[in-house]
Amino acid sequence: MNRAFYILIVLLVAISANAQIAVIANKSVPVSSIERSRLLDLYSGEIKQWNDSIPVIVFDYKPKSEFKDRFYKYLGKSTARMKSIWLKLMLAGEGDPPEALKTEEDILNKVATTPGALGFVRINKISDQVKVLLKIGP
Amino acid sequence: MMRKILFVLLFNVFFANAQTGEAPIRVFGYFQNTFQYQRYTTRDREQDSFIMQQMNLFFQKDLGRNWTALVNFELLNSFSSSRRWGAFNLEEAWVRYRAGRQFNMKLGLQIPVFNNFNEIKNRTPIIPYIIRPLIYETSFRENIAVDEYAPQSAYIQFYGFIPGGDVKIDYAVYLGNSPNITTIEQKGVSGIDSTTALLLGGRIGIRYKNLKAGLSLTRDGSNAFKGAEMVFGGPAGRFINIPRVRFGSDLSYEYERIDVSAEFINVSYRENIPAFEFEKEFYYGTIGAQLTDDLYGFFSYWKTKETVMNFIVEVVVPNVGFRFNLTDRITIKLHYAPVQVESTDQHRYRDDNFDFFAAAISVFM
Repeated sequence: MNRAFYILIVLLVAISANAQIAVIANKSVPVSSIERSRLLDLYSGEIKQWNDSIPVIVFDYKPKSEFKDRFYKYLGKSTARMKSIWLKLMLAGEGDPPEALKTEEDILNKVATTPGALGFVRINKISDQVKVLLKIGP
Repeated sequence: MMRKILFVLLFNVFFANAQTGEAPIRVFGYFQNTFQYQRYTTRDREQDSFIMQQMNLFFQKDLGRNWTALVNFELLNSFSSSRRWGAFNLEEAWVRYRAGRQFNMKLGLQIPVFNNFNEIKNRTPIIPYIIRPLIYETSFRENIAVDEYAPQSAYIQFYGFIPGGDVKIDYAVYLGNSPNITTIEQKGVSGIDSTTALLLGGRIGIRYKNLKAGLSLTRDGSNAFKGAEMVFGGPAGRFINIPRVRFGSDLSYEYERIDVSAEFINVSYRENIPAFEFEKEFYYGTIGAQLTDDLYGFFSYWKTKETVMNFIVEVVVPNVGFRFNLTDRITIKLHYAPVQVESTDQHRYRDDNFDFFAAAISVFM
């Protein structure tokens, strides 16, 4: 009985870690945490520079996924709405859509090596090459 | 000839950038091809046609840390110079200085901010409509003086927003010409706007999370009444550059997969003659829903009301449509709009009601 209980706890912790999203940034980014409204401003191209100095470079995922939908839902937008915001931004000459990469490893590497970069991965994927600005999820 | 010019232009763009190592000129654009079917409800007449409704080609280049330039060419209605169809316009040619989110400055030919829709009315990939809300639809020029309702261009604009967490205050102020390109008869140079009144306008808005609202105002001169001294009397040229004031308000809101947007515009003319009663009003409201990741549907209601001295003309268009993203860059659109024209002057407008159906493919390159 006890063993089954511990297995259940371990499973729940594992599922929870898998479900949590970490907002990660390059170590050059001059903040250590971020609010939801500011995160939306960064992802929607409203803010283009960190403290008006380093350019903000955000990354997105190419494939559709429930994980990606959950991140944008946290920002108060659907994935389709975010695409529409980026297209509008581009056609107004106000900025570019984020570069979309295939995997979490790609995002992690890019964020670690690109000054001013921002991305999101599952919490169990983070490494000490990047800084974590926010944790989202249960 | 046109293809040769474009080829040389594109070749030079890429070759020159490869040589200098500067930031490249980015070339992108979109086009929308449409099939339209129109059936008049009060007379036995149908009309259908395929058309290359619109194509836009953009050239954008970053000129330094804070400076960006953009040029936008627009081709309308299956443009063909040899057949004298359609139109080829230079829509935008501006350079922008960005000091930060609070302050941006755009210098050069541009489409100014007025309510929600004016600035994006020609961006076909991001709008669900095939026919745009009445006063934004240039192909309705025969029936509605679309240029009177919203400012078409400006030359200097300052804009930005003041952040405050979830609340943001937007502002835009601009200066341009009154949109009546009327060359000085006989002596004029084509394309020089000879109106003497400048356009001064702006918008102030507020954003709170997914709610957005704003008030817009412009003041300029209108030549729409040129020659009206024949009706009202007075010296020749009295009705040139009649002061015109446009007032607009806009509201939009998003809740999960549903969005709502609405606008109101009032255009009034300031002339101290009692019988000189001209006024224009426009309303639109749209409710849309992202039905699936790729399918979006909307219902919209548009209305214009024009007071022309002793009679009133109204155009009412309840309409419905769908947009389906075939891929990230290819969109299929469907649109049905019964157009009803009502007037107190029955003789002039009694036969103008029609049902409009259109299907379009919009491609972003």
